[in-house]
Amino acid sequence: MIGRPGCAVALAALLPLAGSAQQPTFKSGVDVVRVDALVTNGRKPIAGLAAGDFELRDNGVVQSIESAAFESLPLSIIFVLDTSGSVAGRKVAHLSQAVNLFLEGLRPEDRTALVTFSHRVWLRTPLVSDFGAVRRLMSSADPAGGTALRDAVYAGLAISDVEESRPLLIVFSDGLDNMSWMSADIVEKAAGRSNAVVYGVAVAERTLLRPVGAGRRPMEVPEYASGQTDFLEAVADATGGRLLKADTTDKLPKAFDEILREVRTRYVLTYSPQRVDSSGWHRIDVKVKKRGAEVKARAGYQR
Amino acid sequence: MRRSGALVLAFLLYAGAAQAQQAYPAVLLEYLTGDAEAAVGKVRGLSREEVLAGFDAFNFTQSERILQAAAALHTEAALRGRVPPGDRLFHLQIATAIVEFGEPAELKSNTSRVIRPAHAAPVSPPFRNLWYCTVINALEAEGLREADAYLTHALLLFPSSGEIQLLAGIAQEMRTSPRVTGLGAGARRDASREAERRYRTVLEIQSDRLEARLRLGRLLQQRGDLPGARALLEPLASALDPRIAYLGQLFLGGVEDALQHPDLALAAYEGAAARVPLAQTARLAASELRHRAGDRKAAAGAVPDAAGSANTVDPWWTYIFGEFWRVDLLLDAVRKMRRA
Repeated sequence: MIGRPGCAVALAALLPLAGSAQQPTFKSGVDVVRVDALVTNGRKPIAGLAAGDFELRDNGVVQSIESAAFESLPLSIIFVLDTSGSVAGRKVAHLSQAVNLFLEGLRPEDRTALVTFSHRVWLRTPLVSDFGAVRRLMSSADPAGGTALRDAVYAGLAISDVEESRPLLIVFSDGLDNMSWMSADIVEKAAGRSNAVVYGVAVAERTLLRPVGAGRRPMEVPEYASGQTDFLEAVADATGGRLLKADTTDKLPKAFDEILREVRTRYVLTYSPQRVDSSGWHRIDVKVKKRGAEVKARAGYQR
Repeated sequence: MRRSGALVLAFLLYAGAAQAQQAYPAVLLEYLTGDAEAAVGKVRGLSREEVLAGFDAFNFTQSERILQAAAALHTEAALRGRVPPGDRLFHLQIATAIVEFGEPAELKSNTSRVIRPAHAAPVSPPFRNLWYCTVINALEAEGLREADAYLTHALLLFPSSGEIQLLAGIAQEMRTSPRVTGLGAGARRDASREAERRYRTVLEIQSDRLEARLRLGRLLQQRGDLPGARALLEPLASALDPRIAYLGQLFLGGVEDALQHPDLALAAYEGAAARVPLAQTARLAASELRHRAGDRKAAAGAVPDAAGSANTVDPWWTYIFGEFWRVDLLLDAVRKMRRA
């Protein structure tokens, strides 16, 4: 039978940190909420913030932030990658390059998992420290079949629930979901409950545009089908991540590199909820007390 | 001489003596009286000229009952196993021309080839019905346009055939799927209603046709008639066919979930997983229910069992393509009817 309703609250918590360079220590048995937040000014990340620079509201109630860790927690990267028939050929080679580049940027304490999907969702490797395993699996990927994007994202979210690290899903797809059992709404809600940050990477179809007028050459333009990116955008938004549109697969290495750089600049805020209901959906609002600072963080959590 | 041998001899005698025509009657004779499997391979190996010479000879043959065997042979050559698309189309066109002989003239032909035999009889109505079921089943797995063209004939010829009505319903249900692109919401709604009408007709004709019950249940679930869907799907749990039992319980899980009955939904998903143990979808659906209920550890723990290297079969993955998996069984039946 289904277990008792729970919450997306981390059971292990960071103790307050004096500075970002310090290694975190952990305590357990305390209900602590972890919020992974990106702070930017325009497109430029803002570094060097401390807990006191943030204002966090849980269901409208200001909370006391215990720590604001910057680059101090290991990453748990879960690649959720489209290997359906439409990715065959050069596309999968570009995807493999992008994954390799990303792996080169990881640190020894980070871990990676690989979920590939066509009509079938396949957990190729759970979270491991052996980055070579992911490389080898990607180099042998054999794209074929339909696209079960939503089911695959759910599987990635389910295995992302790891303590003492920052779970991050990188989801790549080049087309419309045509095979999933789960609805977009169900998976978006699962994302909202998850501690993971989701980055989506979408690639467009190429459409030939024929400009009006003599002598003007037709040109190829990227076109994202209606509904192709909506789901990835919604899931990313729910977790405080974002969607990158790569237009063509040869731009995937750049997009993956951009994600890793951005992730390294994110803060992990922790707090013990005070003066709020012990159950239900909790809306989170995070602000930084600096002019021009913008914060991207998960929309809330379920207790 | 056996009767079927005599049929082919009659075909040979009146077909003309050109050398190119000799190989074809020999293959047809082998199909009728010898190794049918080998004959199917051999007819694929003949040149198009040889086959077409044999095909033209049907116009003059004295053999009244040769056409059904020839239609069966070319149908197998087109649809059994992996066949290059060009060869598949060629043999299907030959079979189509043979089967269409004797159909009402107002039906638009599905082939550019025509025969007008002076003596040979058209294929029998039971063979024609079986033939359309076979061909439409095969085509629905590939593309709707061709399947529709054959459905038009089949529905006009056999309006009270439950099997044809089922195939017509499946074609409409496919239009409701995201696998079929380019349709607006209105067209998908219309297709859903039409599919429902067809499935209800099947169940009026043949109340124990579980495929129709399953598909009608799924349609009602999607349309929000949850009690109606549940009434159709619940009994399928005890179906002997594991595919029907699996899909029935998978869909029932969706119904119970929509009705806010998570315990019943989980029981249905687990029941489905028990019937097809390596299937993925029901296990993932059960994991998601646990995740939603807050049991994250169980939800995560279920993923390797749902999405591991062994999870290579799932009836859900092929559900939308109709009953294409029946094509080989139907081809066996076609072969059995080759001797009219």
